[in-house]
Amino acid sequence: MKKDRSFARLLLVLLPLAFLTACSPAAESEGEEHGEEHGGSSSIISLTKEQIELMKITYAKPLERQFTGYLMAPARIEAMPKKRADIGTLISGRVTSLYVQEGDRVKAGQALFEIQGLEIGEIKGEFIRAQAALHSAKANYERQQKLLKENIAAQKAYIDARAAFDEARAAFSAADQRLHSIGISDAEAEKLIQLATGKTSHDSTTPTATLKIYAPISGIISKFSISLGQLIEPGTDLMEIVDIARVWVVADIYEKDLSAVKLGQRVEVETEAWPGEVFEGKLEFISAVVDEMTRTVKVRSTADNPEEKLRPEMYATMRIFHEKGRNSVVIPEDALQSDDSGNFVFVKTEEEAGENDHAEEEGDDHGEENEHGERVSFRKVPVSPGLRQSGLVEIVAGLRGDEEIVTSGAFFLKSEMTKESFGDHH
Amino acid sequence: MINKLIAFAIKQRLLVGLALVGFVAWGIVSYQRVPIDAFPDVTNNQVQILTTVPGFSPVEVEKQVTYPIEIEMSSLPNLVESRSISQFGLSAITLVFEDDMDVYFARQLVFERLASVQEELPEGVTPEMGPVSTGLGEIYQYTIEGEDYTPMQRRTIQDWMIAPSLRGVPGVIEVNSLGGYVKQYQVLVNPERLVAYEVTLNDVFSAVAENNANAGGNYITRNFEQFLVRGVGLINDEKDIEDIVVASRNGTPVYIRDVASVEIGPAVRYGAATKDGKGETVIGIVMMLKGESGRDVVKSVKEKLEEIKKALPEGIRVVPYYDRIELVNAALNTVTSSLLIGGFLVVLVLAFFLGNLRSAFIVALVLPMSALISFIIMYYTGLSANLMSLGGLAIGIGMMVDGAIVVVENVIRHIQENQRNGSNESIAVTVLRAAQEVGRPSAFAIFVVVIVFLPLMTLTGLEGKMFSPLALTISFALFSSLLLALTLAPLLSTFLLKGKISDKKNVLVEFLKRVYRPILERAVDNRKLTALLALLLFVASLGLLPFLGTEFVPELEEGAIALQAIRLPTIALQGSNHLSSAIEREVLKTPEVITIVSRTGRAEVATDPMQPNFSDMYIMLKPLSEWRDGYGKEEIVDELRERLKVIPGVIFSFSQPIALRVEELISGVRSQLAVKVFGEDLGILKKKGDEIVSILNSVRGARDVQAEQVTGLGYLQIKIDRRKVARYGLNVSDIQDVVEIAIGGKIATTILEGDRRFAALVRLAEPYRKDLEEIRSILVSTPDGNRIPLAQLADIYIEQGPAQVSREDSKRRLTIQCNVSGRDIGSFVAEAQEKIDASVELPPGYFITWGGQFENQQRANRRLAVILPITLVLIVILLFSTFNSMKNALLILLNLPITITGGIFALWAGGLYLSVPASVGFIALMGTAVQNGIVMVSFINDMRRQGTPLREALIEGGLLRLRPILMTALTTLLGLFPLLLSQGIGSEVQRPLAAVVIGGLFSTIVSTLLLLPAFYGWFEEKPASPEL
Repeated sequence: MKKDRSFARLLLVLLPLAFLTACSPAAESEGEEHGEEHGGSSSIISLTKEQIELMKITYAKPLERQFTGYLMAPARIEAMPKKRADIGTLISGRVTSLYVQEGDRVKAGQALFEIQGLEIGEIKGEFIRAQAALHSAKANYERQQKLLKENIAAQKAYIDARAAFDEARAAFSAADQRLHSIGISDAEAEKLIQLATGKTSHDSTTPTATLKIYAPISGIISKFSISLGQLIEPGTDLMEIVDIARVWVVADIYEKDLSAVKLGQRVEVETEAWPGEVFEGKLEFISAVVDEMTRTVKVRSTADNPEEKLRPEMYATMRIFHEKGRNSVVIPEDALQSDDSGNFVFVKTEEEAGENDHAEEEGDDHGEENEHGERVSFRKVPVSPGLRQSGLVEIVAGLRGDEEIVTSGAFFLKSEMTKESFGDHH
Repeated sequence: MINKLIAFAIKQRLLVGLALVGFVAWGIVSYQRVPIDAFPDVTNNQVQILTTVPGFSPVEVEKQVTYPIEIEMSSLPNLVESRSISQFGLSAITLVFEDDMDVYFARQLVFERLASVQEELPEGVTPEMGPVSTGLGEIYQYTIEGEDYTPMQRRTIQDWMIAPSLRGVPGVIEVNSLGGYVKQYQVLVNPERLVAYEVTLNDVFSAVAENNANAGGNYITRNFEQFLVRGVGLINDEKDIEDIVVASRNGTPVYIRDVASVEIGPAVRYGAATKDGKGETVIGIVMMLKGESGRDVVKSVKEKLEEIKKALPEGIRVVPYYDRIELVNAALNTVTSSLLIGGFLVVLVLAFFLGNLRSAFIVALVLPMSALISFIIMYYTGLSANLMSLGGLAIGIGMMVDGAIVVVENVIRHIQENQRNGSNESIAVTVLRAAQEVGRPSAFAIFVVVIVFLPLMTLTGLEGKMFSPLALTISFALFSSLLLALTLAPLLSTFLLKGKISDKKNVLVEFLKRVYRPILERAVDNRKLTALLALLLFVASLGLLPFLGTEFVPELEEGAIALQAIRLPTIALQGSNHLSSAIEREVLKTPEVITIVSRTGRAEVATDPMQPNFSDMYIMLKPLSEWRDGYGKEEIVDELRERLKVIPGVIFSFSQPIALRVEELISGVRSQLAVKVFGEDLGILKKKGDEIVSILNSVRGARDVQAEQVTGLGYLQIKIDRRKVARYGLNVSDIQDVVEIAIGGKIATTILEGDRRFAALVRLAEPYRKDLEEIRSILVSTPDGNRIPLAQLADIYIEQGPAQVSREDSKRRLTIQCNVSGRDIGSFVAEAQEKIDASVELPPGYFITWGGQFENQQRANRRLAVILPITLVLIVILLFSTFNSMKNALLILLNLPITITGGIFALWAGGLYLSVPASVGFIALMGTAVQNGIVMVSFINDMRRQGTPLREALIEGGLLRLRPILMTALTTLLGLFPLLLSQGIGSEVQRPLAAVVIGGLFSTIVSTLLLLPAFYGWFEEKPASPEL
């Protein structure tokens, strides 16, 4: 009995000891400093002046400014069709003279080159003949008319002369048309007429089988594929003249954006070639159809291009300002924060942070308030952002505009506010 | 056998002497080879599988990488635990194996499985195993400094000059880099030009990829000479890339330079480093191979660095900020100084008690020699020398001399007797007789102590890894000391104790005997009163227990601070760096801080999968002597904590470099209690997690309750609309390619600069992908040659999504951490479990488990609850086999309660916590108490057998045993004294142990000298048992 009891006593002594030493709770894991009670999700947070200085938290009133929304679309520059000419001939011939070369700036009516060909001679000769025939037919007709007035000639002769005159006139008109249609100018035609009527003598300076081609518009010779002696067939494009003092800017916008664009909207164009330079214009054309392949809609504006910086086929970006400028409350993008609950900003407030707010609690616990002086409180205010551009956000709802909002360092405020909710990474 | 050994030692003195000298030499060699580190390695046996999946979101990583690998690994043999973290661009799987499994074998198995899972992974994704390293692995860390160099240049120097050389140092498994920018060739494509030249992004990508190669054309022979044919087409610089032709348009080649700009730029990074509030820096982290000697590896690394420095560009400095050697030396210093002082005190005691310097010398010689022999055993058992294992030696000092004391004391007694009797017995015979007389009991005493340390060796987990080396070295040392007591001591005695031994009564002992006798007489005469007093004392000590603080294991001091800073998960690396610098500047205001280096996000080899909102900050402190008066580590941490209040939006957590790393590696759960919710849907997990958080908060005693952050990462989702994609004849993969190349950038090829390798990346130029709007208008080429903006093919929006996905045992897991204060954790868990069962409804397939350090405590608790009784039974069996008397055995066991009383008082008086080391102290005490009890009881038994009357036997026995008992107790006590008083690194873990043993020894002395004789009468075997 004795044995048993003492042994049992011993066990009684040792077992609790073993238990106690073994199950002693672990050392406090060092410095896990989130003792705040959970659930303190007050929407006010306060920081000391020191903290604000350290984290470079700044606050200011939001800006009031015109805010316009725009749409970006890839665009390219095109010459205006009216300001562009392809140069060719309607008649075949050999190039005898070239007066211009690629890149030359030409005026409307300036001679570009000259060709010589049989057909030209024929047409010219025909013209001269027709002119001569007309001339004589006209003289005969006038004479017959006079005679008829004086009742000298027979009615028939008059009628004949008149018919011949009409005929000659028609023949001349046809020759004249032909002559002009191959590009002979009025001045040259006049010369031919004079030649035909013998007012000037036939000399070597007026070759009859040549044709000068003139620039139909002023502009720059942008394409050039002609050389001396070249045999030209009608219908070949030999040169191109463009006038880019004004150009088209054509952009493709996607279906989804169609509803936003309207004729007359202001447009800004930027190019890679001239970074930073903005060419302005207005939307003047929206295509009636959607390109079935690219699923885009063509829109267009015109840009003044006096210095000819914009060149056709150049790539550009078009900004279409689709919303009218309106006065809005505008804040820096950094000021706008978001979390699960949506977007918000921090507004400086005179209210004291609530009981549950941990920042305040820390202050109470450690008498920090006395040490570091005053605190600044901020309230989390939900807002609805509108348009964004160049680092600014328009606030559609939630701000009056006269509050002081945190403009930089808002992220740190958000962090501090949601501190309890994040923690271990394991 | 023991007698034969003694006889052999005396007969073959030369041989044995030489053997002993041999042992010493062997011991010295072993000492030099034993791996030395500061702390025992408590990391579990694990293999990390790290897979970088650039650009993948956490959920994608989990689905496509983590899950297939996990499934493949789940059936590995000896796998204890498998857990994983899937983060942005990284899958980190940790497989924990049984401790006794060879880590290289485990890695081989993992490797085989990886090979078979490879084809299930996304193309180009290759899992890699983390370095064979442990929580102690990061032994040397440095920054690369040089004002004239950009962070990218410094990173290049680290990656291509320093790290490769250091990797070659024996014992270094990895040199990790963090910070700065990794150099990269970047082909930044202008999408507008792509349109203009009618080429696609893919064209550019494949052009770069295909135009970077050398070819071998074997050789040609000309006459009798041969020439090697070599096609040289490697890209050398940016210009070469620019000149690559992408396509030909109307006979005009389209070059890369026409559609893209080629620059050298920084690669996308997931981590950064900052220092001293001065902005970004580049750091290198040298990681040691598991099981290597930290001290030696650091030494070689430093030597190598000296070599490298000569080759470094002018002005580049390698500045170490973390050097393990300092800690190793400090820890070794603590232990060795304790050893030396303790040894000195022990010798002093011997000199006083034995009154004979020669005998004291013999005993003292046992100390270093048994230490050396222990090193031999340590070397061959693969035990490393560290704070804990060497601590075992320090603790054992007093016990190590016990055997030799008993032998030498007995020899002296016999010589003195001989001198008195005028016997002419030769010294050898006297020594032999004397030594054989006490040989068995000495051996027995050592066995008893080793037996009480057995339960420690069966501890598992962290506590086992910490304390079993201690138990092992104590056992090694005790066995060595026994061997020496039976060989060296008699051997030396025959030489050193030859002459005349002074027979003068020892003044000290005589004085003590005069004090002791009246007390002993009174105790024996009033044994009921004595028993009552003893009981009262014991009860009083038990009454103190509730007032003792408790902890699991005291934290080992590392002399440095590791500060973790946690920010909102959406923060960008840049924002984190900004905050880090602010934090660093605040921390540097504390004068004790020398330097602070922050590691943010993850390093190149992501052994620690941290996201950019996490920083580990290493705060290095000046030597203790330069601290302000009254400032200790705790005060400094408090001060820092106070200073950092000013930083908003950051959660701080203070730890120490090794402790932090070990925690991260072992369990990933740092709190006492972890509620793990398992289930499929992250949303439900989060919801249930939040519910559990609020329930836990309502339970009394809950502190620091916090749910794992699984959501809150910002996502820009590009959700492909299949119908629209189909309308244009596109595949989903076409669009994914665009997302990957255009937005994320994709490595097309590798460019060699000598032996340096840099990636060449193709990506859209920044302005075309920097914002939601730009991304919406990225053009996708259709097979018809048209280009459609992304927005027309997919819904593009920003939302918050999972920040990371944690898994355990192949299931998604959400952990809620919680500490408990002011109440017993068991009852807390019970209450919380009940409440959660009642109010949290889990959908089918969802379940909750409970873990955390609480698990460890329960495990240790269960283990000790089984082992301690078994130990007691073992002791009883031993005692019974000695005395052949259950009563005697129980009498000796009675020594234990009072012994424990002293330990408890000592803890209370020292303001120390009840902890695992304290319980180790109690266990050690049990050994000593039993030892002493045996000495006393067996002596009284002997006297009784010789027919001495009971009272006389008790008094005389007590008086005669006073000297040996006091001596052995005092040696143990004084041997531990330096540990108790030491303030050095690592002393905090030994202190409770030392306190318990020292306090307990006082009460053991009292108990053995007074209580045992007093109670002897009650326990005496009435019929004299036959001789053993």
